[in-house]
Amino acid sequence: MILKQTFLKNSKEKLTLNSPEETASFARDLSKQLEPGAVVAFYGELGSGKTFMIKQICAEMETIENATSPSFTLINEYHTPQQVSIYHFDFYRLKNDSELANLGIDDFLYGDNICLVEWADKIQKFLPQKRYDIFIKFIEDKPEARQIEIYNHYSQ
Amino acid sequence: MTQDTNSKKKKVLLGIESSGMTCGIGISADNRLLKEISVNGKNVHSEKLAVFTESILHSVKIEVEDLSGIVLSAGPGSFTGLRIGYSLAKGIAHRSKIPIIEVSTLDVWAYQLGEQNSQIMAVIDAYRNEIFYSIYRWEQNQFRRITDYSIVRIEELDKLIAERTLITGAIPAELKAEIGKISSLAIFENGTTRLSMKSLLELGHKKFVMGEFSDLNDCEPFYMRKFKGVL
Repeated sequence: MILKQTFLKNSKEKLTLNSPEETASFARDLSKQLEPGAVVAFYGELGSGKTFMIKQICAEMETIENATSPSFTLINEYHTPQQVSIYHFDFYRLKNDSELANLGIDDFLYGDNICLVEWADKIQKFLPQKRYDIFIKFIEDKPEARQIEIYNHYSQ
Repeated sequence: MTQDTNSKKKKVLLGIESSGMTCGIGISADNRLLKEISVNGKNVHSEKLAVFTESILHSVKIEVEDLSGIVLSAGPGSFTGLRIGYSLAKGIAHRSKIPIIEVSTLDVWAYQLGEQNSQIMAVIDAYRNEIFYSIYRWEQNQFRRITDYSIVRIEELDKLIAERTLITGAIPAELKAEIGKISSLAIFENGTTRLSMKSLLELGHKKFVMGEFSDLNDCEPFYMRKFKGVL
């Protein structure tokens, strides 16, 4: 287990993930914390592994559909065998918050679904206070490794 | 038609509520509720609203052509829910060439409590520590709204509540606790968890009689929150 057992009690945790396998393992650990209504906001540059992590979460939750990047559609919906809907957002191309209005963003973020949000910095003021923030950073000279910072706002 | 051959002359209104947890359809004739069907639940509106409409018309033996108008609970509330309600209303209104009458959902929450001695604040969760609200008072048997429809941060609520105020609306338990902490003058009305179709239709009937119809092509849900900023 990469994510410590104490994670639920902590508000902040910092990890180094040395390989894609460790990143996948971290995502599996994280998926075990996610209950209906959970919001996870991902932050990181292009290619840092946000979509990869979300794919691992969805695989662990055995979604019926394969997770793919919703770069052009803004949102994908997946379903778990337990009838939980997972909404996967990618706001990289979001230009105006009226697009969020047309999406009915509050219905998603404050609903009973799990929301996984890429480029969450674009919708910062719309995010609920209770959420996980996950920052993914490159590590110099280690292309496979990532520095992860997790903020658990549910514990506050 | 039908059970009542005079319904064309009567003011027969179909009420639609889809702004929040309540998914409801009601029908009234000359301001008397004939029937209502409603359930509380998330994500049921797309499945149930049209089915309820068909079912209620069938059960009271009224045809779509016999309707005089459609009363819509206009929000604020769920973006998706409101759009479903508006789509259904506009579809029927276009087909039957009848008017749409929009009623603020906040008005319905306050009105359905009936006459009260204290002022009433209707509240709907706007998220991010904010609420949509409006304040009402019964004066000489008349129901009056005494403030605009507004948004306020919860921590600023005490500025609005200067006297004993009955709070009603779509208020999750967590939000209720927050409001309770801010103001000791806020008294929660706990008995009502469902928007009353009877009250929606009564308020709609008043507007119908006054000819307060909405433009069928331009009317849209009363979201209250403006999204305009460039990111």
